[in-house]
Order: sequence, then structure tokens, then C-alpha cells
Amino acid sequence: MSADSGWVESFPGLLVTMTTAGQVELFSREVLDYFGKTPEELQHWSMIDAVHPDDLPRVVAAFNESVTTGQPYSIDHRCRRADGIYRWFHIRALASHGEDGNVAGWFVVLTDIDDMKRAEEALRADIEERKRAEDALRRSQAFLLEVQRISHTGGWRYDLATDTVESSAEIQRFYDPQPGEDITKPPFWFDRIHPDERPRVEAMFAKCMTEKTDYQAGYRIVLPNGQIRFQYATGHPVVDDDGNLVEFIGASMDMTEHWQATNELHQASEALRELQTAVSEASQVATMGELAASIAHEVNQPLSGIITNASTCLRMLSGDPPNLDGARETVRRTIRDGNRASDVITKLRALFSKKEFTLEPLDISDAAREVIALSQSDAQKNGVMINADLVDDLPPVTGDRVQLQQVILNLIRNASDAMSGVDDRPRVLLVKTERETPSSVRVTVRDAGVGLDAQSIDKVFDAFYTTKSSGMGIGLSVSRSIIQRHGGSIWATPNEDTGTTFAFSVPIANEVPTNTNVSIEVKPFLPQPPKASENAGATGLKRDGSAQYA
Amino acid sequence: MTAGRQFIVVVDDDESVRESLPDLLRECGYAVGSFASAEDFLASSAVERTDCLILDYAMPGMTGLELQRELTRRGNPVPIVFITGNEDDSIRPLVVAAGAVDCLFKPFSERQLLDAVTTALKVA
Repeated sequence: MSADSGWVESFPGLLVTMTTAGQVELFSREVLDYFGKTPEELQHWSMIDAVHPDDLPRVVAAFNESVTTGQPYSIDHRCRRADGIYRWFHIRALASHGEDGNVAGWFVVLTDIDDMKRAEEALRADIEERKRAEDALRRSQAFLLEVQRISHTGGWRYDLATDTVESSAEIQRFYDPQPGEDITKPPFWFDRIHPDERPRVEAMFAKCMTEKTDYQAGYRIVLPNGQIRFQYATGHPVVDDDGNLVEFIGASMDMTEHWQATNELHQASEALRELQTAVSEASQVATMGELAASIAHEVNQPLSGIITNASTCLRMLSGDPPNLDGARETVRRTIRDGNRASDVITKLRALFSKKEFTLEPLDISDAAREVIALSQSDAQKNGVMINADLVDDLPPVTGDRVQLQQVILNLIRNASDAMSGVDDRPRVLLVKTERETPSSVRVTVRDAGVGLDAQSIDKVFDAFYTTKSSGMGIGLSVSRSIIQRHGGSIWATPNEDTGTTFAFSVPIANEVPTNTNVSIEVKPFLPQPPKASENAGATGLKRDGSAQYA
Repeated sequence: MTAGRQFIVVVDDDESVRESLPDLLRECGYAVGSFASAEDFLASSAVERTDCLILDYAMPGMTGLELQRELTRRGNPVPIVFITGNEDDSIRPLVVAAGAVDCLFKPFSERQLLDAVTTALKVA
């Protein structure tokens, strides 16, 4: 048999004619090419052989149905190519009828739909994947919204190019926008900030924009109804490929309940704290000789001023003509220095009263936690965030709870004061407790303040030494005495980046000396004659090189 | 000594000292400058034209003794009168051994101050 019907042979596709028995009679050239058969082979070949095994059952069923009924059949199935590769085809078979009306043969057209099939499958897979991704996104968004709601945290985004702000529902909820207010513009958000803190927050944000650095700030906002809420905001800069700032994204957490609870606790404990402070400061007793030297030093300063100013006054009045304005100024200074001497005596008098120590086993982390709670209100007023890293299962120390809390309070206050002038970085203070050695625990207070120079580090625990414009410089000296009384040591170390870390260690219970003598030495600030050692005045060096007084 | 009025510098971290001493010395006819720290003094142009230095012994940062050493190291042996509020007898021999003209303990009288300054200016 050969393709003697030219139109069949030249058909632009796969076309065969078949007998009712299924034998191939005529065929197009492309049939030979696709199946890789010679005309002779094709004559004796059943196309069923080329059907994919998985498709065979339904192909056979469809073919038999058509043969039985004489109806055309249409089916998609895979056919094996000469190289063994299966491709999808659409098979359409039409019966030809003889003059008697019976089926005389079949015209079968095979249309290659493999590319289209694969494209359909790929599209289906894409659609499935997209649906899965959309479902995951919906779940993630719902989860995020719920997390934001539970944690009172909202997200925001500031676009520099359009000068607009996007904000989540949660953050809008606690900023309470009113009709007519435009929440897409920065002024709305800055206008809510408490007037006392707005300059600081604006300056910090502007600096972060300029330097493309992360932003952190805690501050109060004032709502239209007068309510004050406390926010803690963080932000991160996003830059383009050229390093230009394009936007800031961030989160803002409403910490009002925490802040209010802290204030209430502070108010309830205010009287107790003042009593603790008074008792603690009144518990210091110095050896008479050293205290006399300390008093002499502090009183000699204003006395010297009085004598010098008085001498100057006499000279000025003796001048021709008398310098009355100058003389008045010297008299004013004389009165000032006299008052200063009086103040010194008044404050020093408070150091003379004796109080007994109350020694008991105590949890230093618990004691620190109480002090932190009492300190939160003042800290927040100063824009200071107190972070706590307190170990809960430290062995107890034997000590006077009030005295040790006074030391921690003093360190926290000093740390907060050290950051009072800081505007270019977060005012963060860390209080940490930890097991230092098998026989001691350590309390650390770390600030990000202005820091102490090397000379001040050596002297900072000396009585009357202070780097502050106000204050007598008693706090750290008393703190050192308290810690020494507990058999511990206290020291200060400059931080590698900014600020200072103050720390003290005390022995755990059963390691403390049993002497209950209440005498506490207040070391006067006396100049040290030069020594061979660089750390003049120190009794040793800590392992990190800072001076130690123990 | 330099031509014209002699120039005395007071270095003391105590503001009342920086107010009172210069006024008294100016009434006595001296030109006077004052600095709150040894570092500020060293960074100023006054170092080279100071005829007498009235120097607090104990200060935050660089102490009076350290400033004295630094001036000696620089080859600038300005006559120094130390002043101090600490009643420590070991200070006077210490600073005099290091080259100081005198050491006055606060509160000192006008006479004591002027005598020390006069002695220092003779050395200059």
C-alpha cells in the first residue's frame, strides 16, 4: 500500500485513513516522519501500539464505541514519537460510509497539542501556587494584625519622595485622629508629641534621617481629649542602590498601661522610698580624723573665697575714686561663699547619726527589681529606658536590703543623670544581675551617657568628688562604704562605645564577715602623692584594667 | 619678666576662686587670666606669656602636679604658686621639690598670696 492519494500524502498534518479493522490505508508524509515507519511497516502496524500505556484504556474504549456506533470520536491522548518521546495529540476520527450506508472506513486526524497541553499544565500549576501564596499571605496578614492588636504595636512607613506616612490600623487607634486631620502627613504625628519632649524627638528623627541610622525613642503623646499616652517607637532606614534614603519603616508600641502602672506603684511607694533614702544616708559614720579632713577641705574652699573677696573689697573701697560696683560684687560673693560653707555643714551633719544594719538573706535580683520599678517614673520623665536582665535563681546574699537597694538606686540615678544631655542616641540604661563566681553575685548598671575620663574613674568613689554641677559627691562614696561593709567590692569601667558601667559584687550567704559594727568609713578626697603605679589610689586592678576599691 | 604689666594666670576648677583671686590681683596692678582646667590653659595662647601661675593642686582631669610636669617637659618653667584646700603636710615639700615657688593652704590671707606672687615674679 502506498500513498496514492496525493491530497492525503500532502496533508499538512498527521492524517490517516483506516479500515474498519483498524488497518492503515492512506497516510500523510508527516505520519511516516512522526512515527518513524516505512510505508510497508505502517501497513501492518496498529496505531494502538503508539498510545501511552496510561491513556490506552480510554482510547480503546472510545475507539470501540465509535466502531460500534459509527459515531465520530474525539479524544486527547499521548502518542509515542519515533525517538520514544510521548506528545499530546487531539485525535478526531470520522467514519466514512459506503453506498450501503455502512461504515466503510475511518478518517483520522491527529493534531499535535503537546505545547498547548504543557502550557495549560504550567498555567494550572501557577494558578495553584498563586492561590497557595495568596492564602498564606491572607493568613500572615491576619496573624500580623492580631499580633499588633494584642501587643499594642503599630507599623508605619514614611516615604521621603512623597512626604507621606502610611500607618497601620493599630497605630491610628492609639493616635486617635479626628475628622479633618490628615494622617498621611508628618505634622499630624509630630503634633501629638508632648511639648516637653517634641524638640528632642524631632531632633533625633532628623539626625537619623541625615545619617541614615536606626531610630529609637520613648515619649509621651497628648491626644485631643487631653489623655496622655506613652509610646516607644523604632525605625529603620531603607536606601536605594545608590545609597540614597528613600523611606523609613518602623513600629510604635503603646506602653501606656505599663507606664501608668509604674506611676501608680511609684506614687504608692514614694513615702517608703523617701524613708529608705533618709535612713540610708543617715547611716554613715566616718572615723573622726578622716571626716574632719573632709569637712576642712569642703569648708576651706568657701572660706578662702570669703577672705579673698573681703580683701579685694577693702582695696576697691580704698581706691580714688572708690570702686563701689566692684566692692558690691565682692560683698555678694562673700555672702554666697558664706552660705556655701553653711550648706556644707548642714549636709555633713546628716552623716553623723548611727543606725543599725539589718542583716538578712535576700534575693539581689528581687531587690533590684523593686528599685527599678521605683525608678521607672523618673526615668521615663527624662526619656530614659531602663532595661533589666535579672537572673531569678541566684543564691541569696546576706545583707541589709535597704542599704543595698540604696546603692542600686544611686547607681541608676547617676546613670540617668549621665544621659541627661544625650540627644544623638537612645537613652538606654541596663541593670543586670548575675552569678559572678561560685561565692559571689554581681549587679551591673550600664549607661550610654557622656562617660568618665581615666582620671575621674580613679576618683569617682572618693567623698566630695563629683563631675556634676550640683551635688556634693557623697553618693558613690557612701555606696562604696556600704558595699565594703558587705564584704564586697565596687568599681567603674568605661564602656567601649559610650558611657560607663558601674558594678558591685557581694558574697553569697555564709560568705559574709559576721562583724556587725555599723561604722562605715567615708574616704575623704585627698590628693595622692605620685606612685610608681599608674593607678594611684587604687588597691588593685580589675581583670579588665579598671581601678578597683575593695 | 615681660614688658608692661606682669601677667598672672589662675588655674582652678572652683568658680569662686576664679572670680575672687583675679579681682584681688587686678586691684594690686597685675594683668590676670583664669582657666577652669589645666587642659584649657595648655590649649590657650596664655601659656607662653604667663609670668606666674597660681595653680590648684587637685583638679578633675589633669592635676596641678601633672601640669607642672608638662610645663617642665615643654621647657616652659613658669613660676608656680600652688593653692590647695587639703590640709596635708606632705603636699608642700612635694611641690617645692618639683620646682614650685610656694604652696598656700586655703584659706590664705592677702599678704600670704601677694608675698608668694612677688617671690614668683622675681624668679621669672
